[in-house]
Amino acid sequence: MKKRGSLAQQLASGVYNPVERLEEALYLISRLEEEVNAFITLLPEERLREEAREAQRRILEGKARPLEGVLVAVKDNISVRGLRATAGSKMLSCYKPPYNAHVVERLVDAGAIIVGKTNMDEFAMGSTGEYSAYGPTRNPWDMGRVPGGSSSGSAATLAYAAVDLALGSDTGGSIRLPAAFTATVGLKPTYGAVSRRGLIPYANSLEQIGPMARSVRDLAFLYSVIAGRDPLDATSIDYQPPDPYTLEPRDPEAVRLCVPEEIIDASEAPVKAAFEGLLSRLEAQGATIEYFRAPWTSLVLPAYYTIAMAEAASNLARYDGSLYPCHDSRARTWEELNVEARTRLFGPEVKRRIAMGVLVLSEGYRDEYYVKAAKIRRLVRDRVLGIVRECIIGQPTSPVLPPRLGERLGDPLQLYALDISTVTANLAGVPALQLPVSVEPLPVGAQLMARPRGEVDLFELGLLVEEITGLAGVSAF
Amino acid sequence: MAVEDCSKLLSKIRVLARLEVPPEDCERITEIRGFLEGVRRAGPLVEGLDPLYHVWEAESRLRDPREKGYGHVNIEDLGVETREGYVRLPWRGRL
Repeated sequence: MKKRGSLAQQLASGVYNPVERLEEALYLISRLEEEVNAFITLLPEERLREEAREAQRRILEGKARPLEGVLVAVKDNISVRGLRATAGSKMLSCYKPPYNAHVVERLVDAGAIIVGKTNMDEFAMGSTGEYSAYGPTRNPWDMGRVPGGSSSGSAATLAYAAVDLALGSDTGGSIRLPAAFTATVGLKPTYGAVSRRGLIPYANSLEQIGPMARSVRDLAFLYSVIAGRDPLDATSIDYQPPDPYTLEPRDPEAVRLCVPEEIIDASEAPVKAAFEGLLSRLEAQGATIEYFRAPWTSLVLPAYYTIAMAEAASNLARYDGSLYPCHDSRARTWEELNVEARTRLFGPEVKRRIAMGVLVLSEGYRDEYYVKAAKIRRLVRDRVLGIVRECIIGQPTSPVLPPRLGERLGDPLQLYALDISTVTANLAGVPALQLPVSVEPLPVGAQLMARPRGEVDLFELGLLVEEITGLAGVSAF
Repeated sequence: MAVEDCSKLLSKIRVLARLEVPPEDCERITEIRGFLEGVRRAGPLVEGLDPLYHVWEAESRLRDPREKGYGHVNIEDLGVETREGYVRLPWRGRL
C-alpha cells in the first residue's frame, strides 16, 4: 500500500510537475498494465510526453488551467474525438467518435491529459469487470480478484496510480462498486448534474457520468470541472457544483446518519464489521446514528433490472450490423445481417439483458413487469427523498468483499445481487458517494446518499470520514 | 418454465430482439425471468402510485408541459394524449 499526496493541494501550491508525474505513470503502466488490463486504448507515449511538456511550460509561464497536466483516464463508453470507443464490445471495435463528449470537452478545456480509454463490462452491463470483450480487469489490491464493474478499468488504473483522476459512468453502481473494491472514491452525481452527451447509452433514465479519484477533495476538484448545465442534453439541470477549495470536513456533532437495517443484514461479516467500526468512531466524535427499516429493499433489484433491461433493449436496437461495421459478413439481406451481427458481436450478458428487455416491454408482459417496476421506482424515490431531507443515508457500498475472478461469472443472479446497496440512488436520482473505510484484508467501502443537489453534504461528510480512516490518497502501488 | 416453453420464448426473442440466444441459455433466461417477477411482490406498497418517471418532474425540460412539439401521454395508455400523466416521448413526435 502507498499513500499519495493530495493532487488538489499540489495544484494549488504549484508543486505539481506533469513531466515527472507522467514518467512515474508510464513506469507503473509498463510494470503493471499487462496484468491488470485496465486500458482498452492507451495513447502513444511520445504524444503524452509532448502534452506533459506543453502543460509544464504553461505552468511555468503562469498560464495554468484548473487541471493543467493532470493525468486522467476515461471510461471507454465516453466519446473522445478520434479515439476508439468500444464500450467494451466487439460491436464497436472499430468505432471512433467524431466528437468529444461534453465532459471530455470540459476536461480538455481545463488542461487535463487524457492517458487512455479504460476497460469496462460490455455496454456497462456488469458488476465485476469480467464481461468485457477485451478481457477481464484485475484488482491491483489482489490480482486474483475482480475490481468491480462496470467502470473496472477506471477504478483499477487509479488503484495502481497510473492516473490521478478518472471518469466512469454509473447506471446501478458502476462507479461506486469498483471504487469500493479498489479503495478509491467515486461519485454517482444527482441525476442531470453532469451532461450525458457523448455517453454511449445503456439506460438513460438511470445512468450518469461521474468522477473517480483517490481522495474526496481530488474527486470534488474533478467534479467542479465536469458538472453543470449542458444545453445539448435535455436532461441536464441548472446546477453549480461545490467549490473544492472551500470545502471543510463537517463538524461531527452536526452529522445525522441514517442507516437502513436491511442493507446491514444483507452484508457479510467483514464488511459489516468495517462499516460498523466507522459508525462507532463517528458516534464517539458526536455524530448521531439512527437505524431505519426500508421494507422496499427486496424490490429494488428486480425493479432496477426490469427498467434497465427495458431501456437497454431500446438503446441497443440501433446496433444492426450496418452501423460502425468492421467485420466480415456473408449475410445477403439486412435481416440476415442484423441477426448475424447482433448474435455474433454482443456478449452473453448483453444478449440476455436485451432478450429480457424486449420481453418485459412486449404485449402481455408490459403491465406485469415494466409498469410495476416503474411504480416501485416511484415508491423508492418518494421514500428516499423523504429520508434524505432529514439526514444522510449511510451503508456499505457492497454487501461482500471483492469476489475472486470467475466466482460469480456463471450465475447472473449472483452478479445482480452485488448491486443491492447501489441501485437505490439511481432509482431515486439522488447523489451517492463511495469512499474507502478499510483496506485490510481487502478494500471495504461506505456509501453516503444525500438530497438531490446535495453533493456538498457528501463531500463535507466524506472529508470527515477520511480524517477518521486516514485513507485519503491510498493506492495499491 | 418448461424447456418447450423456453424454446417458444427464444423464438419470440429472435423476432423481437433480432438476436439468437442459444438453447443452453434457457435455464439462465428462466432464472432471470423469475427474478424480475419479484416486482409483483410490491402489492399494496405501490397501489395507486403514478408509475411515471419522476426524478425531475418540476425542473427537467423532459417534463415541461409548456414545451411545444411533444405530446404528453399516459404511459399506461400509450397513444392517448393527456395533460395528467405527462411523459415526453420524443421519438414519437407529436401524437
